[in-house]
Amino acid sequence: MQRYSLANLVLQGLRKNVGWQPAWREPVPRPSYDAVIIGGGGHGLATAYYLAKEHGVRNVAVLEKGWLGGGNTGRNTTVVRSDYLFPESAAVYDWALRFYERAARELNFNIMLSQRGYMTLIYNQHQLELARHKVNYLACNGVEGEIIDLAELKRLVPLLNVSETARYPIRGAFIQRRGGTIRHDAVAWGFARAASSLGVDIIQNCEVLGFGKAGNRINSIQTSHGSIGCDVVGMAVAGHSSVIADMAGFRLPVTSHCLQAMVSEPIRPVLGTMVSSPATGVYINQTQKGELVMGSILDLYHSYGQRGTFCTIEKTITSVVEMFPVFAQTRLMRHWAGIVDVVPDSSPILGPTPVDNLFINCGWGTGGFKAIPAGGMLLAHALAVGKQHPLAEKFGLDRFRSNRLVDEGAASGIAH
Amino acid sequence: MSHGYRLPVGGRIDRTRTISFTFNGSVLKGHPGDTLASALIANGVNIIGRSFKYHRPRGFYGAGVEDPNSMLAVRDRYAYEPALRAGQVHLCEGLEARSVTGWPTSGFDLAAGLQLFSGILGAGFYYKTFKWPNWALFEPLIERSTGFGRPRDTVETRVAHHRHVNCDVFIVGGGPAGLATARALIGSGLKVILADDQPQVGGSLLWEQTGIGSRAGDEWARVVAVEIAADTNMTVLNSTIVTAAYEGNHFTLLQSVRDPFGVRAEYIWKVHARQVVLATGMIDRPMVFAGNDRPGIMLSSSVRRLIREFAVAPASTLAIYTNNDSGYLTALAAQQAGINVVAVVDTREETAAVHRVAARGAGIECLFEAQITATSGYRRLTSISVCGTEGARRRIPCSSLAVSGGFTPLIHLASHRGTKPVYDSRLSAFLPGKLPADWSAVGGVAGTADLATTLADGARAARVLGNTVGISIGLPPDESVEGLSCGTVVPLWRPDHGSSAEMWVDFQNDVKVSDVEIAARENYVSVEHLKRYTTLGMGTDQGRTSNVNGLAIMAGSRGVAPEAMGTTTFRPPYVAVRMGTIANRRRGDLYKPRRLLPAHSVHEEHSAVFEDFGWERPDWYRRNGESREAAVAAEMSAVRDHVGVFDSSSLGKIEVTGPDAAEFLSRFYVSNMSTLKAGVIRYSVMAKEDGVIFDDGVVARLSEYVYLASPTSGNAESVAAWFERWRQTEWPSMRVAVSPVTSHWASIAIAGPKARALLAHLDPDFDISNAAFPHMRIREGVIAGVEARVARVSFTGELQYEISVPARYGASLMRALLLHGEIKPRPVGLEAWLRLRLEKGYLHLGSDTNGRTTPLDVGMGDLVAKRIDDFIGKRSLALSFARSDEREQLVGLLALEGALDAGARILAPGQTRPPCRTDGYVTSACFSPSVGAWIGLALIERGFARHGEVVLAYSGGSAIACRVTNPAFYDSGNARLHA
Amino acid sequence: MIVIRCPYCHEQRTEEELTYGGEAGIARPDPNTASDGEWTDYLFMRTNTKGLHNEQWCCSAGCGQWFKVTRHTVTHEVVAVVRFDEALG
Repeated sequence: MQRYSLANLVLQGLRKNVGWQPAWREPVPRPSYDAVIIGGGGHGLATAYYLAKEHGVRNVAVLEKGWLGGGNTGRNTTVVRSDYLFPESAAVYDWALRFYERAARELNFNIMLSQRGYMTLIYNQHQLELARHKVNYLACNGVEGEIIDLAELKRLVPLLNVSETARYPIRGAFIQRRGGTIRHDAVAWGFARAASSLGVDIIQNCEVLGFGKAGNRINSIQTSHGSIGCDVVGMAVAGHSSVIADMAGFRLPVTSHCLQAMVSEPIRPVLGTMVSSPATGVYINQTQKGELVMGSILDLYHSYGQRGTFCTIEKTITSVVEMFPVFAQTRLMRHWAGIVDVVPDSSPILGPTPVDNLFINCGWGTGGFKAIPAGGMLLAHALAVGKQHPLAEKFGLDRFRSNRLVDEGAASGIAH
Repeated sequence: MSHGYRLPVGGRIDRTRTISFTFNGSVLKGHPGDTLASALIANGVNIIGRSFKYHRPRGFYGAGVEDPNSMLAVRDRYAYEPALRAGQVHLCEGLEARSVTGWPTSGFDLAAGLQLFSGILGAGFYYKTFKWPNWALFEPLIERSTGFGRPRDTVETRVAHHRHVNCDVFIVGGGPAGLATARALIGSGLKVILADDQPQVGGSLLWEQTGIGSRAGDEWARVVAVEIAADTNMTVLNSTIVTAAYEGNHFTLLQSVRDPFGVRAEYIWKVHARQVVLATGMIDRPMVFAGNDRPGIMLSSSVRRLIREFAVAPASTLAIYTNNDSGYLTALAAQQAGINVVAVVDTREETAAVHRVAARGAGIECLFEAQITATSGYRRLTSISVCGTEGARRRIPCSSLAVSGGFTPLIHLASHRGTKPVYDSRLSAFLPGKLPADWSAVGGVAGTADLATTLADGARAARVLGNTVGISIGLPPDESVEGLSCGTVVPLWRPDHGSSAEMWVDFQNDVKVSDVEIAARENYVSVEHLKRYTTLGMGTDQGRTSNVNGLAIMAGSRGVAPEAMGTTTFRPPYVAVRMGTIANRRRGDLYKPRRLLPAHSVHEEHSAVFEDFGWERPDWYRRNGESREAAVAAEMSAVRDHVGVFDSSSLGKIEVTGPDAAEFLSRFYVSNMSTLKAGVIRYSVMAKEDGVIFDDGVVARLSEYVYLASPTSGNAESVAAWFERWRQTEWPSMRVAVSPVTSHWASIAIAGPKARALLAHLDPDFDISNAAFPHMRIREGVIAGVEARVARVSFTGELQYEISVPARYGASLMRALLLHGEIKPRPVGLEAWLRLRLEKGYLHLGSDTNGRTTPLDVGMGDLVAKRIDDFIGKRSLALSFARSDEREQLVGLLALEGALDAGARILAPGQTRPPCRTDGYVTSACFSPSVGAWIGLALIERGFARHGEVVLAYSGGSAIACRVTNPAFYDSGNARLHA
Repeated sequence: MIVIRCPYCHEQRTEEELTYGGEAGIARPDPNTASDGEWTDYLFMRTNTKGLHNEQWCCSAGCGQWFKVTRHTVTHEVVAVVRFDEALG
């Protein structure tokens, strides 16, 4: 893998940049692979990377029906944090955050992690008690978090409307200082490049159309590029999980919904933290290029539409302006949507499925981006070893058989 | 002159009046009819900003919305805009404009030194470096150099409105295509709306030299506008941009309402149309060549528009670079305006250029099969270098250059709807493709560059849509049409000469052909990867002038045709919309309505401090300037020792009536409500199908067929909806009706040893003695002369009555109770009320229950076991996990030392401080005056079996010891309840 | 914006005036005879079709009636609307 570094940048620049190599190969699919991963988003690519790097399984293909990273990984609002409540959740999300902290070095690709802090506003005593509980629970799980008062909040976010005349006066905020944002495409590209260099074949524009089975095992995958044989199959297709599961003959406790996001025209840097508001249902941060990125709760009806509706935009923007009156002057530039796979307890589904050699990674709902490294590591383990990684024990599909849910509804809060 | 200037005659400006405005502090002059762009050019302003990455000087590239360069901060009388395209701003008196890029000024920008490093600053360079030691160190530097203006905290008087309208036909665009369609619909009876982004309709007819029938094109447009205005079924929305197309033929529009001092108001129109005609036209596509980004280089059609609409010349010398016939239109227009047209450089063969005779006749030199190989002039174009087929190079001095590389139809709205654009090789452009249902496309957007065809197509489109709804539309009589056509386009995506590191594709984000080549080399070859890796088309112009060139160049690098690349998805809105306009006036109290209790004014009279709990409710009452803690303590002791008055009107009230009401309710609650007798009240919880507690509250049976359910305040609506849903969808044959009456009744609770005495003073017409009216009973009758329902039920642990009267009497009742001279009850707020119930160990939904808590977890195991018949959630409670060791069970906690926090974690046995395993958490806590210690409720694993155990409650760095107890801290024998 | 004509009050309602109720046709098993697996399937497993989806909606800002709809989950086109006691095609 050609090294990325300042030295190399200068050297290549002197050579007029003709020496850069492809970030990933564009191979012709082989007739079969040891492991096939369906889904070329962040989770699928991370899975391929870990299969090759940690488990030495390199005869791997990632099948992506569009362009890699083109699903939710390329559409999210780039937030990373690990302030989930349960120890099992904290273990997974914080594992991912710690990977992101060293990702640029490990993947040799700058993912532009900006740990500018992730903040949830507190409006009343009940929310203060919930926030206090979260801080205490995080501490017990070995994750940091704190509550800041109004004075500190005003210092960190000067444009926030904290006056008593705001419709919902603010009392303070919960903050995880290690939380922040990442350039989302860079995560997909970083994992893709690393995986490809380790021998993984990334096949884009390759749609999975069905499975060939022998007994309760998948032995071939029908694709738009023909049939591909496989020993073991992993699926990481987020909002399309039910579609693939249906091909394999089972159902999931998943419903697919539009999650909308929007961005303003770039303005000077004025917002240095990620701010999320339970009162308005909105979260906002500012990219390095100056755009305000905003999002809200998901659309409640089932949808694979991946497009926005004005009523959601209107509600979100109205809330943003109520929270930051001066943003009335900024302009909405673009809005779009992804498809999120929502499960009843807002916790992921990882590991075995009713099909013997098919393993799943889905159910992250509105919060999958922050977990990509962990999701990949955990699915890779299941594919390589044939059973659940200890960190994923509580997140199996079988938890729904026994109503043993891991209810992170409160932590996942507003979609992000 | 090497810069722009005002032409002595012509244009649609009003030369009789002058407008003063400022730019970067200097006072300049313009005329009504100018845009900020045309006025600045007329004043000779050259550099108005800098590009993002390399901080290269940027001048005006286009006259309108298609310009990627002229983002300026603008203030008019009504509002401040951190960044707006100069071509979109109409000149008004007192306008202030400023550059927002470039430091210290856009004229002299120190950061331009970055260009020296352009070799290493190619596409994606930041992914390859800045990793060590930490991206965070470099971030602030990058941020400082990006972004346009900064929002300003300033008083704004611009008004926003939203308007909704349905119509039969929605015509997008008031140029020749839209006008021809509209004209044919006059008198059809169809409700038609036509939206056009300019103050007057006409589109390109306002600045192209055309004739329709006996009239000049602009005069024809004016006459048609008058005819349309006379039809009362037709509406023309001027200065209105259609910003988005949504499914179901819903559209959003942005209308600017202007007066001489600026944009006084912005309206967002939400239009729902049965049929749609897309007539948005097309814009020029730039040519890509080395040195193509210098100030002085402009889109060809923009130059024509400047000359004809605004009477502004870009400079006194002009060259044209074109691969199609439209460049000649610019040459001729310029020459007529007295500009020295030094050459037309046409990349095509001579025979393809249909206007060459006219051009030569006007004395303009035409060069064929020629390409520009380089340009000169860092701050302003000074010359172009041209190369012919023989390889001979020639330098032609000029200070402006009009380029036309073909056309880009403005297909964005169709793309919003998901239609895949289709490449048309005749026009070398992407056309809309298969349009959504009930849409048609006419004119430039459909690829028609010819005026006569456009007019005919418009009329035909009108006829077709008339047929669809059974209305016959006649075609207009043929008219002669004059106007020079735009002819064929021979694409030249990437020139044969020049360094790709000097060829610009995206002027705002500084993306060059060499960057596209880097992307190709590194395999970011799909059109979306190209865009995201190079940032091509991600600026505020959303790639209007860069997308197609970029993807075609990438196609060339890959050896495929442009159509194989496809385009990126266009996302709404078409132009950026001010967020304040979208938010409308929904700020502060208009953001979400405040719900006031019937007795709100009385609470105010008693100095209540309100909190928004869904309703505005008194949290405590600030009497005599005391602190909150002192007040809450006084309110609690008033209830324990005397009597307190609490407004419980927000609690849900649902009447469930009918012969099957008893059976109906029994299917929801854990307790069997069908055995409830008339006049009796029972407390219970209800669960959802997964067994998790949904709500708690009391149910009262008023009579044989009438029950009154009392969900919590927060669930008043959702429980009613839940009842109704099950009734309609699962048990439609049950004879029961569900009537939510929460806001019909005001409910005031009086609690304390003196409560009966206080109730007596209201003169109830029924016996309220303890024997006649025991605990957990309800009575209907008259109190204080009004109909009332009085329930004897207690949240506080004291003798308590909840008095419900019709809501219009709520304030009177509250006042009557509080003003009682003898007894002097104290008003009690929610904080004290909740602490009183905590002393009794009653659960508070949402605090003491979470998303997993079941009736078994709160101690209702016996009740559940007793129920033989089904209730919602019962089956889930039979799953083994419902009884597992891991379940958190509700217990009481008595602190043995220190203060107990709600939210403290209970450390697992043997643990003393985090990080460590935990067993649960403290759900409610307060200091209890009655107990004399801090108490709380907690959900702890296996809690029921651990009464008496001492545990550690950790919060905020310290852990205190607590004893696990039965939650009943106060009056566990319930003597006070039955007093 | 999804627009549906309520089959009870016959008014055109936008999605802002309606409440969504998820997949239609999920039969509640008899709690007395259902196995644990059948019960949790009922609680959690969903079809989540990409394509024509049978679902429930409520005319909550209007007449308050629940009804059933067949809607395409990609285009959002509403293909059938029936009263709750009628069958979807």
